[in-house]
Amino acid sequence: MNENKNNESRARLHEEALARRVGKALDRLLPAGTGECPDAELIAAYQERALQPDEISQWENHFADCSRCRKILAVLAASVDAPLSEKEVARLGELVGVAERPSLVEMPGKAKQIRRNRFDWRVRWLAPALGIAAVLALWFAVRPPWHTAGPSENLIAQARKSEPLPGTDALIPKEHPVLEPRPAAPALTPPPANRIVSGKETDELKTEIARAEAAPENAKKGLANSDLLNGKPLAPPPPAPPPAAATPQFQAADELANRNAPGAAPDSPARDKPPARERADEIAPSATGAAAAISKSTRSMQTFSSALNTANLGEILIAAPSGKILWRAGKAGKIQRSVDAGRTWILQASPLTQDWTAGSAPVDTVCWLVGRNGAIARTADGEHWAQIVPPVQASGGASQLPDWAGVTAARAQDATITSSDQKRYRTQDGGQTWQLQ
Amino acid sequence: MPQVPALASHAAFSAQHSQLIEILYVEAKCARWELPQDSFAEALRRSADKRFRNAQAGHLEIEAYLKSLRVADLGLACACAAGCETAWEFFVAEFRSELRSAARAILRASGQSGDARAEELADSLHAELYGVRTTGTGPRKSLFEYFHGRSKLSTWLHAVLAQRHVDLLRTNAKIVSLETEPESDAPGLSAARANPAPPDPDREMYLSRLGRALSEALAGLPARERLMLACYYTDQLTLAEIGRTLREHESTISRQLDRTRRALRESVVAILRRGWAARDGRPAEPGLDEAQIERAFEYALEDWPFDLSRSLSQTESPGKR
Repeated sequence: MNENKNNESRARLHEEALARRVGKALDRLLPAGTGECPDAELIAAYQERALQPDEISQWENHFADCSRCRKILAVLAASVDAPLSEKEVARLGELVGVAERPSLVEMPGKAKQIRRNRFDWRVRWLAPALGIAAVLALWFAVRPPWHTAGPSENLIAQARKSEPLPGTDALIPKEHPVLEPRPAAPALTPPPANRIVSGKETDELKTEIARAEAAPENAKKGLANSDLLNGKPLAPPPPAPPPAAATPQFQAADELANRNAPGAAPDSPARDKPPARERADEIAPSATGAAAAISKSTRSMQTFSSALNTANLGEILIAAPSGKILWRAGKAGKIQRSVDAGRTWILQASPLTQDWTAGSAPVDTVCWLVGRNGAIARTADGEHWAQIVPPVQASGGASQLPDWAGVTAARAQDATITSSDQKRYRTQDGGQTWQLQ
Repeated sequence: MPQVPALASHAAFSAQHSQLIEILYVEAKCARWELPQDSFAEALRRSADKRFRNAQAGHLEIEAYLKSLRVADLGLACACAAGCETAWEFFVAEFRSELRSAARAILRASGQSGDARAEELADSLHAELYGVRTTGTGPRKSLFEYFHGRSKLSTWLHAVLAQRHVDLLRTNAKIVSLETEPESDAPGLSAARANPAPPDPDREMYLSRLGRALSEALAGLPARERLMLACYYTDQLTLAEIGRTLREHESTISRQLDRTRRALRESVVAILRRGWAARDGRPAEPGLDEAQIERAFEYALEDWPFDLSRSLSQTESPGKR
């Protein structure tokens, strides 16, 4: 055993001696024998492991023989990992703190701007606070908690609890009589043109839909925002049914709403006419300030919903389940994708030039689009689009393909499309074959 | 897809990759710098040209390369090179403190210090990044033109600083003669010197063969292992420093060095045992037996002239370059 140990230690000795000799020889190696040194960008890319394997091998061959490049690499590695000084850490903290307000990129002498932004911050919260106060006031007016016996004169003129005021059912959660403050109003402000609903706003929209769906049936029809999220243009909401024993002023408003309700089909956008509920509110000047505030919020929401279409006329928005992945499709085959819930958009190569009319994204990487003149396309990886051959049976005798009005996709292979004449075709093999439903 | 020459003209390149250029232009948010798409396309073309110079690259290969670029940084660099004031202000606000921090670290790595010196080193780049006129009325030539988006802009700036600093050090360094530099004793050397063995007439033969075998074995090592050997034995870097340079953990470097030394020795032993066939007018050299190999290694522990550059020219192994 001792002999083995001795042999092993001698072997290590020899290994060390050879390696040292190599080291000294490499140090004496003339630079001319090592080839041309890489430029700063290649060195930086090597440091970031951004080179291809063949490039890495090529340059490591060079680095092994070039002491200059090795020194540069060592110095670069040390500088990239360098800890920041206290001043720099503090500066980074400032940058993070003002990250939401790019106007505050720190320059001395921007105190006025900071003060103005703080003022704006208060104003921004003032509107929803006033709205909530108005709702609370209305709530207490309708159902004052301190009255326990018999109706009073004040209650006679108020709508019954079970019949909510027009336009309020979406905002007053029945299960929570006391409203909690929430920043609903800012989210309902119509976005500027060219901006689409964000993932957070999409979630809030979904929350409003859930509340509306818990409301009377007509309110469900009124808020067709599920259509919005499925890429269909919005329909104006039909008015709520008039309460059985409504007060005269609300009754008049409801009658007017019923009389003026647009008779358009759900799929037909009626962008030019304001919703009936809006006109009803205008005719009832004696509504309380609270009702006016609620109506204003409702109008804002509807205007916001409309803005999604009017801001980019003819474009549809399709949200994948995660909410972060969005597609926007419009005229002339234009397709865009956002991976950050709508903050930024990337144009994608479209296989067709027809106008898109509807879309469906069952998962983040799959999206189906349908449009005019039989246009159908699908992406299975989120990036590359391929045209899907439409169902032959849809063409009819005139060899003319219909306009598609809707699509619902369960998976990449499974989708159902609806034509403008309400015929439905389903594929379960990614569009290779279609069955009339 | 047809093969396209890597050196396609600007018009041809823009036509062949128009859709991708448009997508990358949007992704790079060049519009905020008011950078024309044409200028951005030209920057992409120069980047691809540099990457695939003297090589045939297919359409898909070029597009895959373009998609791998840091287009936002490339757009900023293009805009700065083009003289966009907004882009330049953004660059200064974002990168100035980072450059100074990098300069401080570079100086520290070289055993120097001082905030003023670091600021001087960092700020020395600014004029060249902004652009200097080569002639009185000619266009400005900015250092940004050498950035092609293969790495982050910040890393590239660090690399430029590091290059300049190292070159300055090498220029100013005193050259110490290696012959007069005292060699650190290899293990066993002290004992050998204290008790010198009787001169062996075959010593020169053993060392010559050992040198050739070592060169051949070294040429057969993977580049990364040779690089680690060089970092450790030539540059005298610590394991941690090598790990940071090569983006590996210190323990990985240690294990890899052990394996490399062992592989080197085994390879040298195998070559010495094999010998060399007759070649280029040189007679054949038979292999050594175990006792002779052992003796050769004993001689390797002593002072032993080994010139890698001369040995590399005589090696039989496939060239490593």
